[in-house]
Amino acid sequence: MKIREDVIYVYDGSYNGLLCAVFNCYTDKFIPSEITDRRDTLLTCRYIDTDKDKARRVTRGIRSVMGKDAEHLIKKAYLSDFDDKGVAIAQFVVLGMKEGAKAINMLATPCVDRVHRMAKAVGNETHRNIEFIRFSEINGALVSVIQPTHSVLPLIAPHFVSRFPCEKFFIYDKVHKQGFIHDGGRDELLSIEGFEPDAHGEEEEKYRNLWQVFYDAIEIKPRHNDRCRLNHMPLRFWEDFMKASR
Amino acid sequence: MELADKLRILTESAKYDVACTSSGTDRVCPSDGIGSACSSGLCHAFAGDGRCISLLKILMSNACCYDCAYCVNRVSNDVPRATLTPDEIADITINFYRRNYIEGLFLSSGVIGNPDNTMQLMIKTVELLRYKYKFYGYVHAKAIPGAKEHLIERMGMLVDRMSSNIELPSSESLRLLAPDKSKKDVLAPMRYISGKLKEKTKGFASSGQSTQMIIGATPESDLQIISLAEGLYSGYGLRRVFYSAYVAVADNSNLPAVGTSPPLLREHRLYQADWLMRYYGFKSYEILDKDRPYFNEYLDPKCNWAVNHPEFFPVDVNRADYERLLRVPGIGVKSARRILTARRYGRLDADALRRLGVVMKRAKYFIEGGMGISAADRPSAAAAALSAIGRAESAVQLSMFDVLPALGQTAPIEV
Repeated sequence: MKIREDVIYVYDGSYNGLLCAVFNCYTDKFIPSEITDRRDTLLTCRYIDTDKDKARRVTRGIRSVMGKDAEHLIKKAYLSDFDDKGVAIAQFVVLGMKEGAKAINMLATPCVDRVHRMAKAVGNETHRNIEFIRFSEINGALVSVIQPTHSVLPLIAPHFVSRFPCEKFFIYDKVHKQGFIHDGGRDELLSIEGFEPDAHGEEEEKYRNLWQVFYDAIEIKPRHNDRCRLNHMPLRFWEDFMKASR
Repeated sequence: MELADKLRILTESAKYDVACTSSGTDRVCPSDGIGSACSSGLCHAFAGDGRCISLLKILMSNACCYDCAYCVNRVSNDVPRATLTPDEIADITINFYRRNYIEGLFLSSGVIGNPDNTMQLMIKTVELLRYKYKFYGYVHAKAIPGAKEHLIERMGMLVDRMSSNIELPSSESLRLLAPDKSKKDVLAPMRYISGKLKEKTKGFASSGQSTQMIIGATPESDLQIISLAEGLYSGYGLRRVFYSAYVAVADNSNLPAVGTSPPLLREHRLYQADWLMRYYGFKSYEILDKDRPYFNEYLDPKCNWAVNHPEFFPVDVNRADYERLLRVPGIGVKSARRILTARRYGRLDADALRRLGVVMKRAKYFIEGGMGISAADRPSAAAAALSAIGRAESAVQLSMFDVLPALGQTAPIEV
């Protein structure tokens, strides 16, 4: 399917919206140069309405022709923040409808490679967030504010539910303005415009200090290696109280 | 003594035990507890030396009654001593865990009175975590050499991983520097745990066991060390052998002088060789031999082997099997698997290989269709290029007309 450089599709940012944009590629018989949820462009825009039925048809097509793994890959790639995710996913679906279940393995084909890489980037960011985010105990609940490079909150939430099911906790994604709350039987992913945690108490301060003591003591000083540390743990993950040890 | 001071002393005492993984077990937390386990392991921070921090790694007590010459906690050394109670350890562990600082606990100890007494105190700590705090996260505990088997068994039923450190790679070195620990004392717990793991007793050390060797404190060659590691993997079924570059903390005529730099490049080569044995199907005698028992400073062990076995190449990446692909420098486990998948759908050229993650800078000398180098020129061209890459990476300035490095060296790498 050919690409038209002069047209851009704009959708509402949701997964179903993206599937509708893909649906439109079929009805219009071309792939636009961009599929985006941003409206700040001078090129010809085609606004795509989100229609649950259209989205369902595309989902069914993906599942039956390309396979469940392909759907999983697409959903993961969708969570990324890459500008070209819309076009790459559209190209991948078009290819998949033609080639079927083997499309996901055609790693030498650029759009397949691109979708795999986007999903991988989301996976990597998920893993880093699971590792590096910190909770503070505030008013009896565990609270964490995060700034991930992709929308990983839906992917990290199950990990923490499994990690401490009996705790009350709240994770706020500042960048994507989403929050996840786990409280007794309640698990909810919400859109939240802004959030500022309350000040923490003495107990919290005590354990932060103990961590700092542990962190400083565990280093083997003759092996000090800032570059190695930064390679593994990007600066953006260093909490305020860890920056002191830089 | 303040809790923070005790924690500092006991962390500093534990840091030379480099085992730090939280991998090997997948566990979902039961609804009444706290803690899960992830088999890939999770690193919650990286220390100033670049090493991963995944567990709360401490000694229960550094008031050790043994006198191992290389150890900072030896009884004859004048250092502050401290002991944490089981309650204090459990409290810190749980609260660090809740804040996502750690995946669990790594508990070792100096020998408090005798090995059995030490194990009993450690068992009490882990029991507190598991039963009172209902902690299902990762726990790694040491098997104290000389402890009775039933205590090792009890500990194994409570923890995910156990380890018993060989520390020194030969019985002569052990005899000289660790008079309180015989080779029998060190290997007995390893043998016992290995036996229990073979029985597949449910709930016993689900992440297996590991060990550690100190590198550079004693005169064993690299060949001796990797042969020993190979024997431990096959004979005791260890999950990991760790190599810890000796940090000269002790003033002893049998040890390198205080202030000697830790042999980091040598340690790095050992990990590379260890990976080759575990993931790439190499045997120790392929990596080093009696004539060249030390690693090449400029070439990693895999490149070294490739350069010295030109008869094996070039490899046709579109037809070779997995084991053959793994022998090509620049092709690792991940890219070999991707090649096997991708080539079902079409012939792979240099661009495709690059996109699959193959490091063409190295691989081009060893694969068919790579860069138009004639068969006769391959070995020397490869050796020259890889050596140049190796030198550039180790930032050593050498003349262009230096002799090519041979298979290995007859003396250890000095860094």
